[in-house]
Amino acid sequence: MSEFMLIVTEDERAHESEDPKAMAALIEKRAAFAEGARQSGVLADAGRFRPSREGKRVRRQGGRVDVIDGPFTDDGRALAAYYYVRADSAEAAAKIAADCPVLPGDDVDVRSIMKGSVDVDKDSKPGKIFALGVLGSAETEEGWVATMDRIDADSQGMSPLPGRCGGVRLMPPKTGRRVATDGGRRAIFDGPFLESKEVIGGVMFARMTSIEEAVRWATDAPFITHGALEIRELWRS
Amino acid sequence: MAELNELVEGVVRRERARILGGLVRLSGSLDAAEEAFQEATLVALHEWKDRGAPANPGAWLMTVAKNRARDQRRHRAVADAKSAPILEDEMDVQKASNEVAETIDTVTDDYLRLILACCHPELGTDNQIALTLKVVCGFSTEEIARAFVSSEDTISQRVLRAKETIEKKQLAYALPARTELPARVVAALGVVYAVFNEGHTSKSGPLMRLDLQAEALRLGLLLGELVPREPEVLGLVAIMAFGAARAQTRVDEEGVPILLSAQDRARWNRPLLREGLTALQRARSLGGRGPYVLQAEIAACHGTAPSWLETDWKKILGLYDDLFAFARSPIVALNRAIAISMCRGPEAALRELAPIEAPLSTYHLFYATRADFAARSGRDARADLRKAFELATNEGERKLLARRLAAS
Repeated sequence: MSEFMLIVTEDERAHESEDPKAMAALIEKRAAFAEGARQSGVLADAGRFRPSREGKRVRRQGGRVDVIDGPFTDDGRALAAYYYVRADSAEAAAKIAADCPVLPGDDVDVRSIMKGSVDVDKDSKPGKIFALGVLGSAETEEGWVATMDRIDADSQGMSPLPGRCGGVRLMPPKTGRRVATDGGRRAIFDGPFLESKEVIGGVMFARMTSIEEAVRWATDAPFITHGALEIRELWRS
Repeated sequence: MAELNELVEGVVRRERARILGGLVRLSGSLDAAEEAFQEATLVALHEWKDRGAPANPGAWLMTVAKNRARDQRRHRAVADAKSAPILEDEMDVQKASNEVAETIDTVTDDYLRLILACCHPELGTDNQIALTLKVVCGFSTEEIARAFVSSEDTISQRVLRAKETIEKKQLAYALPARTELPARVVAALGVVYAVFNEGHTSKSGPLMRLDLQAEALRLGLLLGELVPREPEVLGLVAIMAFGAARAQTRVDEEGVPILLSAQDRARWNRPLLREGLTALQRARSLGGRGPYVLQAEIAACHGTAPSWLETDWKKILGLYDDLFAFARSPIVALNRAIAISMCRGPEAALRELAPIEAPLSTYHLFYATRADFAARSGRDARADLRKAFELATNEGERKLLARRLAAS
């Protein structure tokens, strides 16, 4: 049994302009999907990110630390949710991903977990919960892997993330799958999918009182020299 | 200087409740905490002017305020020395026990302690509201007076009385026991809902006070963070989000209310609707079916219906039946009668109103509703409209009733 992260990328604008009835139906379908997956034992944890306009990205360029307010893309696409699942193979995980309710144009990426785990109980504790996604950009898969290795090495000695509730490093995209939706059809593609500029290499979770706290921690992180950290609050409600 | 004032004001507004919560733990007194915080703000204005603002103004303010609170304690201890001598050692022990390392858990506990103290059931609703807006939200006495169309004196009195009760009964010291927590949180929800409702339909002045609405929603979301997995909190968040989503469509240019049946649904705020639907879904997943969750379900039916006529009235009636089982309140019965009028016609609805006229005889919406049923069943509605007009206190609502009267 292996562990996977299903990472959903959505067109936020399409979701926000949805007709209220359709919006309600999708939210209910998603809850039913998660409940079903939980009951059949494949789903260990799941979370949805609050709108990217509330999020921040931290990166270091030259000697300067930049804190960028979301949204981070021009086309409305943003990280939207994750599902932490157990399955025999990437194919089996992709099958689960294919059932995940999304809108046309949304993607669900299947990524193998290299190491780490998520505190599935974080939800029951007080505070805001943030996901801190480690993003790397590179032209090639090798370049991307090298970046992630450097980030891994550089983050060994740094001060621990306060309120940490787990974190995972993901295998390179080439071992992953992508479930894309076009019209009513779903199609599964093999990785790599480096065409998007930034590819997520890992995600940490932390319980904090405000996003500023997360930004402050990230500002001191040595590794953001090699990539960027996208900080997003999880929906509590 | 103006910039500095703005900066300090912003930090104070943002960090106030969080810092005050920590100070209450340290000093055990709301008054002492507020005093220390006030002093720290003055120090900030002074020092930041000379040296510029620090990188983390919130943490700076917290440290200075804590030092002030500690100084105050020392002074109080000296002043009290005559009656109860406190040894240096003893003070150190006390100090150590108060100086918990700041973690997410102490901060959220501090926050919750502060909110629950301000919403303590022993304070009475009006005092709870005044104190919560003052202490937790950082409203000035003047702002609260304006929001509740009351004098500053009255509000100051309420705040003072509430604080005295807290001091006397030492309500600010401890967090309630786990078993007591849900009941205390529900009491706090009542306060938040009262603030929201005042913002939603003010007793007088303009129909809505959007600042009160926004503040109530913020408090609800905060409670949702502090007491996660409590469906009733999520239910209230959903109710408020749905209400706020409709805010822009509830009045016309003249400030006259537009009834739900006539609102432009295309202009309802989608992100807020989504906030509400998401909160409600989570409440459902947690098995919630209490009064707030039921009201949220009703609001969701309205929020997702394409029009007044295409609303799922049968489902709404069922939800009102469930709600009525919880709270046999005449207001719930009145709203249930509206659902009955849509499911079974105005005649059936009129029959539902007879037994609740006595308890609602001073409520303008009782007569406005009965007038609507009467008009729909071809009767003369003027007497009821006149009565509703006499009883209504909000300007906009009076204008609407006058229009209806003129048209009937």
